[in-house]
Amino acid sequence: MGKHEDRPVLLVEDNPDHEELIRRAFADRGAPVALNVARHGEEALDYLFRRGEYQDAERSPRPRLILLDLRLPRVDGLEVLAEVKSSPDLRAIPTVVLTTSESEDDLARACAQHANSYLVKPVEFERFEALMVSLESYWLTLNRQPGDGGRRAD
Amino acid sequence: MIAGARSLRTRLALALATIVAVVLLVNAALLMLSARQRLRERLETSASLFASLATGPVCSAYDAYFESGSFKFRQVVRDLLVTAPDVTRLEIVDVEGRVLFDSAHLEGVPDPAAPGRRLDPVRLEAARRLEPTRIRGRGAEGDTLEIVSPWVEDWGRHRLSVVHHVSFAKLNAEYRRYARVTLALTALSILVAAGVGLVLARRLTRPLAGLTEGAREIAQGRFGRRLDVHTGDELETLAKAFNEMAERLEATRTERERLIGELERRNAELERFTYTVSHDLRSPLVTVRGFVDLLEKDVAAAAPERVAADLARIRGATSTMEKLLRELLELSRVGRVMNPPERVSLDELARQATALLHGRLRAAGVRVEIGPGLPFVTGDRLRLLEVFQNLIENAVKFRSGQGEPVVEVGSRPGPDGPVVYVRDNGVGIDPRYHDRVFGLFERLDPRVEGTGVGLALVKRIVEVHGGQVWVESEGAGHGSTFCFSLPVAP
Repeated sequence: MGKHEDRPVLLVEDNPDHEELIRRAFADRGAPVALNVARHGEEALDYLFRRGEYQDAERSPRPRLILLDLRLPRVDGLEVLAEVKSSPDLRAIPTVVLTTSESEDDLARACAQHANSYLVKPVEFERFEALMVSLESYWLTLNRQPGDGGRRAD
Repeated sequence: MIAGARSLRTRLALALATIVAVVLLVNAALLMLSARQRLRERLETSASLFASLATGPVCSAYDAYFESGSFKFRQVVRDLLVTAPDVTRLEIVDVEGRVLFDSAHLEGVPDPAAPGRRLDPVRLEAARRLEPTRIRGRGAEGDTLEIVSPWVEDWGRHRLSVVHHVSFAKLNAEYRRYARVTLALTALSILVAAGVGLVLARRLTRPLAGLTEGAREIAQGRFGRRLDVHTGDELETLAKAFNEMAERLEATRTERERLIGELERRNAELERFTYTVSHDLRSPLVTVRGFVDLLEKDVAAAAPERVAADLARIRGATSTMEKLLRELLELSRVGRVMNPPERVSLDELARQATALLHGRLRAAGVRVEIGPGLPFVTGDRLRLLEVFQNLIENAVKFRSGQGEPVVEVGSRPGPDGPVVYVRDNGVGIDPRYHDRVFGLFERLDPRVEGTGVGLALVKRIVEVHGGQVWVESEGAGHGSTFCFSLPVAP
């Protein structure tokens, strides 16, 4: 695996406790990722479109994965999702909804906005951890996206 | 329905035509009978007159000329008969019953029976009388009338009588003509009556057709339909009643739709509420469970500073949960558990809220100015106090870092009575979020403490009191003005 700095993840999460849970879940299983956190939807969009305090590209590396909570202050998760998926530049970034909401309605709306995946935060930490590990291995290790460079079959 | 209207019209027209026909036919029959009577009477009168006038000249001419100058006599008879077209035949008889002359054989053809022909007893009896006698009978051609009138000579001798044969042929012909004309006119009248009846019936039933049409439209749910009937009769009354019914139906439907809309709104609100609550209560639960599991690991790993951090997060999440539950309970009590409404001075409430928040205001260095003219309203004093408390608290939370924070409470005239406002010079709210700030658990800034219930509570309290609440702000850095309107106390 490459250095974790090569695999920046944008976590859009307003709850610092959940942020910590996610960090620990990644860290404890030795799956280091560079977690950039946006506290609300507006901040996430600023980051992605490099606006406001994120104008500096150093501070806002293009994420390989966006982890998106739905209920956010100001601009909510679905709006962020819509913006990302309607931007020709950003839509290739896998965007995974990670929320406490088990509502069918939210699931349907997230799918309608082309979310790449929809995950519900598990209550037990063991399962939380397992989920983060799967997430890391699938989206950050196995999954390939434009810009990775094609590997020729030998 | 159309068929019914038509048959009603036809029935009306038929009834009218039948009545007219019966009346006209009876009338015609009476007319014809009386005409026949009159014609006969006139005929008989004129025949009698003729008989009384002609008998003398005929008999004296017979006496004078029959034996000597038959031609002259015949001339006299012929001339007389011409003047009375209905008297077709004259016979001169003597009181012995002998027929002396018969005008049937006037034109030279001798009567073969004349010399020996004698009168029958009835006519003989009549011929002997000194008064004229009418003899009615029936012959092959209908009724017959003979008038037997005596010739009484100047000195009183009665020797001869004249039998006048009166013919009804002309009368009958005239009567038939009259009857034909009468019947034709009657038939024409009946036809005209039927036509007029049809037109009248159509005119009478046209508003009915309108009523039917309107009733059908209403039955199909188009309550906006009104009938325009100005016949000035029962139909107009019916149409008016009909319009009233339609109006009431429309009002009922509008009211029902309003209630359904209200119910749907409430339902959606409740759904949103349930969803929000389950989501937001799950969130601290994830935190608690997550850090309990982590705590175990950290204890096992003997990392005391981590243990302390985990415990702090668990404590924080449980107190958030406790607070959420308490505020939810509070929110659900609004409208359900109310203090009896009373006349409340908003000025007094604003001052009371300021006094209650005194500590926080002083700590944050916020100055509250209460303007004059705050209205009196009717409502739950404690709830309305919460409105001010929450709005002022909100202003304190979102004060900007620059300048002296000031909260201004006042009122200004609005379209539906006075508008009360709580204005701050704080961070302001982007117009995009003006609707969302009142949503349950909505928080615009995660760095500012709070659960996002305060403004939802304000909205609920104001709405339960029949008022409205909204926010005015030109955006970040321009401060915010929270406004609400309540029905003013009388």
